Amino acid sequence: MRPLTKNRPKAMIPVGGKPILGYVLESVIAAGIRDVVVVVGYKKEQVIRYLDTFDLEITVVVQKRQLGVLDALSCALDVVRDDFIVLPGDNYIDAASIRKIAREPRSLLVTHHPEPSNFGVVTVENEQIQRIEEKPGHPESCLVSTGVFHLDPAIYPYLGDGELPDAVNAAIANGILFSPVWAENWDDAVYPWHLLKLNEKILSHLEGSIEGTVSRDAVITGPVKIGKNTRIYPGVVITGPVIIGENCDVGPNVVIDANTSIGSGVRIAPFSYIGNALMMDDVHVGPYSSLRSAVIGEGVELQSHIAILPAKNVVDTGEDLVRAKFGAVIGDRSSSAPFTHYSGAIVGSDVRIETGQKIVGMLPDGTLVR
Amino acid sequence: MCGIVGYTGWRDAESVLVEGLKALEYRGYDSYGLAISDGAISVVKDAGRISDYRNNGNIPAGNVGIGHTRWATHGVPSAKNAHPHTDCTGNFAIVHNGIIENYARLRAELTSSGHVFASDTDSEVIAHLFEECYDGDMMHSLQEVVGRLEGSYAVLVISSEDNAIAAARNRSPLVIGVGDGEIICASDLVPIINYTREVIFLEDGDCAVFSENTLRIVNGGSDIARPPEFIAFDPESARKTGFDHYMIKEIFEEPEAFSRTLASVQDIDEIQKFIKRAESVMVVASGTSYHAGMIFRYLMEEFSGIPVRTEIASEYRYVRPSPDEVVLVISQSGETADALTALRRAKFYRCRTIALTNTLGSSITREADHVFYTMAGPEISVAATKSFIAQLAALMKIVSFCGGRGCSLLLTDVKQSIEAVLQLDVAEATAICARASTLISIGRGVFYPVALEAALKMKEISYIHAEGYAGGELKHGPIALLSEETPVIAFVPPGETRNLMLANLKEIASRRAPIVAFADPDDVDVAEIAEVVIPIRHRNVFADVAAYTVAAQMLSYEVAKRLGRDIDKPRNLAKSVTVE
Repeated sequence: MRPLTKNRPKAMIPVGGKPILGYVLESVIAAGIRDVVVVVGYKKEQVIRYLDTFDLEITVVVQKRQLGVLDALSCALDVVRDDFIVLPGDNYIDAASIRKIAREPRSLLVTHHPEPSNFGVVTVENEQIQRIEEKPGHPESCLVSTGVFHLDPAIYPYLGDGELPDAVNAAIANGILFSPVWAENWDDAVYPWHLLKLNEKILSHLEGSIEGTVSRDAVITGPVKIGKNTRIYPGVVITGPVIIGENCDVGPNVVIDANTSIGSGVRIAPFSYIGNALMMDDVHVGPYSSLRSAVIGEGVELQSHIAILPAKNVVDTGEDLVRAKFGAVIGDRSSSAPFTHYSGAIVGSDVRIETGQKIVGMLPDGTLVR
Repeated sequence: MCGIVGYTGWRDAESVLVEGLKALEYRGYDSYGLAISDGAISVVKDAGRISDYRNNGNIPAGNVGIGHTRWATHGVPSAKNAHPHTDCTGNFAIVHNGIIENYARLRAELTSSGHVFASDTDSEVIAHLFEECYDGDMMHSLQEVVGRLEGSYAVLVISSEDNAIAAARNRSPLVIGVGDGEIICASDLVPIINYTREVIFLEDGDCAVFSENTLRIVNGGSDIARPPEFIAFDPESARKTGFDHYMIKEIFEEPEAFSRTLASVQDIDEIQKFIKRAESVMVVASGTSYHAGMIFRYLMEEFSGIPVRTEIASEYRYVRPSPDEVVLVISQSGETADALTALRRAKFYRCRTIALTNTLGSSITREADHVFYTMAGPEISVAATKSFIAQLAALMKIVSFCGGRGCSLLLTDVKQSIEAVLQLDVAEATAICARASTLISIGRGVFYPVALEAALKMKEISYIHAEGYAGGELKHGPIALLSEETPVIAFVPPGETRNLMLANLKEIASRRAPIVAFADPDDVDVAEIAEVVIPIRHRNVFADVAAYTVAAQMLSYEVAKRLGRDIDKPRNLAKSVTVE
């Protein structure tokens, strides 16, 4: 998920107007659960200050070192009683799935996924889970674990080394039965360009509402949500689903196309086109720019005449080569001078790009391109 | 300068009072005490903090009581001087916040008529006066007592004969929360909102007597109806879940505090006209707020050309105000005694006044011609952090309205600069500062007040002797202090001050003092000369001022944390200083 996780944990990446963690907590609350423990660690300050905005009393437990889910769970055991649901804060999940698994003690939420080797692959026989195999090279099926477990103290003796699925496998080997529960709507973004798909999925349920000031010469169609204090100037065309945060200035004469999420404090200058994009807070887009299939971090400054165009690309993730098609992923507070062209680029944070460059592939944090 | 709380109703008074005093601890915490009435009055009090209080059975259960957390003015912090004070008979107990100016004379009179004083405080006279004046009617007796007091006070009195509480206010804050079959009153809203959102702000000269379901307020001899106001304020925002201290929690709230204040709708157009019509602006404030005022001065003069003077609130009483000046008084709490006195003086000289405060309904807001609220939310840590940033937001907004659209575009960069600073690692700089006993902090231009603020924060919470100087002043004296053992914190942003600051750094480096420089990561000259550079990407002067200040706050916090200081409640300090 780098560069987007440099300054925040993955759970705090905003998609469709709020952090992924926000959807998780809202679903938990909607499913009627009121006793919530959140284990925080990496960049915990960002998480806590978000948790404080919820109206629910949330117990916060700090995990000193990031040693995985099992370690996180053992940090929380002191404040957990009876049976409990473990769920990752950085995967999208709906309330229906949580209600289902809450009714089924000792169970695992499963789903089909087209790329199973990124997940734990689950073998099921006679309506009982037989095994969870983490990130197999040659997966036997497309049935994967969502990492959402309904557990109880019977699992405690098996919480040893390794990971949570190992503990569950050990418990199964000793005759404790776990049943599979099918997820209704669950999704995980493994690579940053997956966020665009997730964004599209979340925006497909968007209900329009306009709290800002919209010029009568702007054209708005489809579900569009516009936050407080945001000004939409004449000649702006917005085709939903689109969400725009608070305190933004858009236009005049800007086109914002479907499946776009824009954060708060964003300025979009005249004669720009934005489509299928995920834009965090305080981004500035200069005039005469065209941005497609882009994930743009907080405080990014794109001066004038910027083009971001989707391209097929093979990305080296350090462990693996992955095929992907996207325009650009740009880390927090990077800036680019006029006439920069991105296609299939992953740009780190605090990168500065001088005028007239074409960016393809990876740029590490803090790079200066001249 | 203390916090007081009183309760009458159906709950166990002791637990309400203890919780209330904990919420008021920011107002003072060198001693505490409670008095409960259940037909007779029982008092417990001690030096130390209310958080250390344990009920060891000395106090009976009762539904009427008063409590106090103290910041010593008259008499050292001790159990003897802690409130509540009782009279000679033990039939009355009082708590008091403020200063009784004529207490020496009252005390002499009371002593000569046979009263025996148990403490060195000014407050105790109130208890004995009550004994003297009591005629069976609380309201009547209270008016008698108040008529003889001079100075500032918020007083609560309980009597063994009555389950009512008598309260009086003059120039010290007092709020009454009207609940369902209960009334809780306190120095500010925080202890009250857990029980009720319906509150009455008492005004100067008010005397009130209330029991669980009656309330009577008298001012100037006649009954007054003060309808309760509804407070839509979230008590939950005063939690510190997951953070080690309130201070660091509040530092992480700064980006929101800044943008919330900037985006808030206020009568800024009026304020702008007001300032533009005036010949000059006089900013009056104390401590951290004064530094915000100094930053305002540099920015305002540069961007709008309107001359600005700044004065420390306690010194303003020796300054001759000019009626052509707009006086801008800055106070986080809106209750700071020095700021209030200054505001009244400005009004007396017919100056137009603007108050900048974080507290809705505070005393200052009821006296100024215009009020600009900072939207920082409740600040619990004694060292001001997010309230300062919110003050900067408000002041920068005023500058941008007086200085044109160019500035308001610059302001949109500030939040991101702060966000970037929150990601910084200051461990290396912390190590250098934490081993020093003296620190010097320097800056020039608008970064001079930033240097002063950095030194103030360091003093407040790490107890290291830190002094802020203008970069150019160093060679006129303070340079004599420099050695390997005196680290220098330098603010060297790109811009007009950078070259001269670099020259100052060379002078410092040649005295072998270690330099912690706050500078742009690309500034190689600074990197070469400084021991540690805390890198802050340059954006514009507004963004830099905010970002450099936040970075300095974080450094102070980390240093204090490393030294194991009591960060949220530093010794000898209190949050809102309601004495002069």
